[in-house]
Amino acid sequence: MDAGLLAQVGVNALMLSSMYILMALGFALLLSVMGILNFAHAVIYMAGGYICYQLAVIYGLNQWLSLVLAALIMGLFGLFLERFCFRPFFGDVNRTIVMTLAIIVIVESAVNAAVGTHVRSLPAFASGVIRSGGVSLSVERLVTFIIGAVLLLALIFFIRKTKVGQQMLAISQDSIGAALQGINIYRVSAVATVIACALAAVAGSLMGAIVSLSPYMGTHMLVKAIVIVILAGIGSIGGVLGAGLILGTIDAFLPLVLSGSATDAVGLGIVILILLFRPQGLFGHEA
Amino acid sequence: MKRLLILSSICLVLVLAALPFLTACPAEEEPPPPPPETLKIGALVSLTGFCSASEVLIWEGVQLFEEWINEQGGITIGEQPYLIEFVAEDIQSSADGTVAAANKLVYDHGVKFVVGPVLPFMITASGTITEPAGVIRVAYYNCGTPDEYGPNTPYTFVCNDTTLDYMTPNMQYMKEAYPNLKTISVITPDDGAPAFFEPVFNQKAADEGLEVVDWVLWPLDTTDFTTFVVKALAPNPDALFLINGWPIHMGSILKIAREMGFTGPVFACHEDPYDIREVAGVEASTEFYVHNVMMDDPEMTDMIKEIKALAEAKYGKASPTHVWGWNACYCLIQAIEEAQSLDPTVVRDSWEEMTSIDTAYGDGRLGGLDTYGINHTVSYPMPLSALQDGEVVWIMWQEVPLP
Amino acid sequence: MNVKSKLTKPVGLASLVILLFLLPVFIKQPYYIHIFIITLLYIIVVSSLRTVALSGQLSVAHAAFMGIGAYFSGVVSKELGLTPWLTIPLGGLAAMVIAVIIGYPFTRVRAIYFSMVSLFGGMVIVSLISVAQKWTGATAGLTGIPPLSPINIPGLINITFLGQKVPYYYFTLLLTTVCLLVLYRIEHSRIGMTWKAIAQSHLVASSVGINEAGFRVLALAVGCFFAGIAGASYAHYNLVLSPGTFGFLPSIFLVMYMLVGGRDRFAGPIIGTAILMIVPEFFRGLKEFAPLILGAIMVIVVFLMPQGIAGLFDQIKAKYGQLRQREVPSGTV
Repeated sequence: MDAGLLAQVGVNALMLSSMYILMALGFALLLSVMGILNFAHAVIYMAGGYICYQLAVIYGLNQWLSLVLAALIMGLFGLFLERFCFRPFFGDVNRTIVMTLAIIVIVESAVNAAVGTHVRSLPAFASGVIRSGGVSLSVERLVTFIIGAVLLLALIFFIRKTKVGQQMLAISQDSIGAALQGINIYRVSAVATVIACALAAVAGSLMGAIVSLSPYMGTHMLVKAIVIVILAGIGSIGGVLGAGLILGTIDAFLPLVLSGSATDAVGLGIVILILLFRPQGLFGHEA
Repeated sequence: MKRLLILSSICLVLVLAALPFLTACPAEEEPPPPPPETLKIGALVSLTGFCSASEVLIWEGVQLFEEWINEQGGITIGEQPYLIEFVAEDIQSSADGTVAAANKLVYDHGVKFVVGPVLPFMITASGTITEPAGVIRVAYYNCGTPDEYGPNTPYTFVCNDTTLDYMTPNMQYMKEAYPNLKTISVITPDDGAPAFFEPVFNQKAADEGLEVVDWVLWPLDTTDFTTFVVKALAPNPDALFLINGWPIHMGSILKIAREMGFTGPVFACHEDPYDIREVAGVEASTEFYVHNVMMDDPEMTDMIKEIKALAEAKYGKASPTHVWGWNACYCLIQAIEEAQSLDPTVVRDSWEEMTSIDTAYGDGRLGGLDTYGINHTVSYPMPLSALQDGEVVWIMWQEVPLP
Repeated sequence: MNVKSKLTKPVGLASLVILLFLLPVFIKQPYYIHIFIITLLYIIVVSSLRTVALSGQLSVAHAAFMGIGAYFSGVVSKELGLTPWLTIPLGGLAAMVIAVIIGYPFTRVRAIYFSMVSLFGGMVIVSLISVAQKWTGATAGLTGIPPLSPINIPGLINITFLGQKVPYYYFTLLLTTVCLLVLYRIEHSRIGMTWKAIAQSHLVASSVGINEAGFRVLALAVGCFFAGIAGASYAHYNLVLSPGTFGFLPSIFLVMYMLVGGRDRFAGPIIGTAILMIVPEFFRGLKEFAPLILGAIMVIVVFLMPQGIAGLFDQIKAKYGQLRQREVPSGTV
């Protein structure tokens, strides 16, 4: 296997990791802060992409502006989500799971009924291809990578340096203790949900441009997000970086040596093995 | 006086009442035609799930056909006219959904004829219900797996192009348009079907003097195709061949291939070029060939032009997939009328014997004995369209050997 | 009153079973029989999922074990020509063996980690089924699975299963009744008690000398055995298999059926599966809007029934009891 091929796949691994990390960020935040697996993340990701399409293509707004607006709109939806779908079932894992699954079913069918028949893709956020040393990289993917890195750093900064972020950290470590300290768990959860939904919308829009939009695009990426947060360990946002790189590398390199469904089987097999050796995730309970 | 008035009024009324009978043709009195009955035909389509993006368009095509045929008075069996009613049941893009929908159509609705589905495992799954019940099924596609369509499925017909049938004409065109083309890389989903058509494809390529340098299989839930494309392009092939997949996959592969710097031609099977262009982007949409029609070209058949007009009137946009959905219904209706019977076994036997049949794509013939072991394929000229410089262009109608 | 309430439950259950046995007399359409057969099989699967969950392990891979049973039985009976009456229990055993093999290492992970690792494990199993294309046909489908062999006792009974729905219905009904009885007995035995103890607090359980890992694997083995049996029966009814039926989305749906029905009661999975599988079938006419009905049911249950649908009766009883209490004037005992 020649060096050029490996270099190309290596670059792709990096890009793929950034795409996975973008999807996983909001999911990891909610899991750490509220301890819930927000399966609805999959459809917020998808809806964000479709809203961006509606704004940019149907209404003709500037695409970057549409991206920001989509994030804001889904962030607002996050408020609704926290108040009416998470708060009533706080602490009740079973009902939260059913609620988030219900949201997936409802939103997916609604979007499918409305626009499902049309194959849609967002226009590229940046055009052009960089070619250097036998390696090709589309500017679009590079831009996504940069946005992903920036958002990851911003989120880590937010958690470590801001008051609300510190409160989220406290809640993730011990929610009852945090409440005793006077932290308003519901308000902090609301902020976390808004951020998570906005992040999901950004991820969905960017992926909607790189790949395409589909009412069912969220479910497969959701599995990647789950892999990343479990590998990273619940409570660790920084760990999302390491876990994302690992998964991106596995997914990018395996198809070179394996064919077809074996890539899926071996890829997840590696993840399971890692988890069996480190059951609490690679970075456990750190942020 | 009064009595006379009454009497004459009665006579006048009687005469007036008798007039129609006196003036009517006394020789033959034609009985009024019987009121039309309804013939229910089932449609197995995915209205939800990952296949719905394309299959709902197929269903739209079916509905267009339903309106068109009923406007013409439906069909007539003997003296009885029948209006056609298509009933769709959602197969939910899954095998379970297909079985439930097939059960509902066959046992609840009691249909004797069904159109659809598209994917091999759905065709196989619905076959377990329709074949034993003796229900005629007109499948939309065929990937060459023996359980989909063959001597074991005597009630199944295929009225649209298939993976295997168009391989050779495709390769012949490749050689004509690209005389220096020698090597091909194939990218296809790992769904169990390649095991059957890989040897066939390799053989046909060898017959045409082409060499297949790589077969790359991708798992069905792939979102990012970059490594698969890189792998396929590693041996520097002259052309890429994409067998099977939906536009979200094909478009993505095309886009990545162009980003990697591949400028050679990319061939695909039955795809909607407009959808592919939507996903791949205008820049990458060049040198890309599909077995499909280009709705605006004057070389389209009259029927395709009519479908285009009807689709634009009803849905605002015409898609080649509308023709795809229409065609199976059209062939089925002709077969039923030809057989002059609503008994599926009679229709099947009569259809097999038909030497020619009209299709939306042109003149069709019955074939399939050599390739599939059963004479149930309606074969018609292969439509070839392409994406060139971001535009959908029509190439040609290509003659296809009888399968 | 005591005697009355003690009898109501068994009598109610018995009458339900009798009604189900008489079903084909009233409902003749094969389509509805088909729905009942599939629902009964999934009731076995979801109930066995609950059995696994009793030990504190919420497995999101149960559909994959159903798949192991289905494919094992299908492939073995097709390739080796064995009768399905033999390969169905073998399918259950195969699922059980795989469960034990991966169950031991999986005892290292707990709670939510276990659930997600099981999700990945289920996906690996389904991918491996696709990899073994030569025997399983991958997504193109495993076909040619033999139906249940005819039962022929000369002079007494002659039942053929091929092409008939009613014999399959009775077979499935009997199978489901037996499996549910067994699962119920196991749950109310010492083993079941131990599982519940582990689920409550594995540390306390270990400190009392309970072999936590061993019992967890046992729960997984029992649950997956029945999932395998149901899967194998499904294979010999459907006669065609596709890996998509056993993937991660179906596994998640199984968990959902259990949660909507009520995780805390034995009847929970039964009611949840029955309602969530049968009710949407009546709304097929809504075409692409049909899944919204499913979503609506889920939302209604999650807001109004904290203990799931199975807990509804107790909920109403409690509410009724509250109302009655208010009527009693204060001062009276």
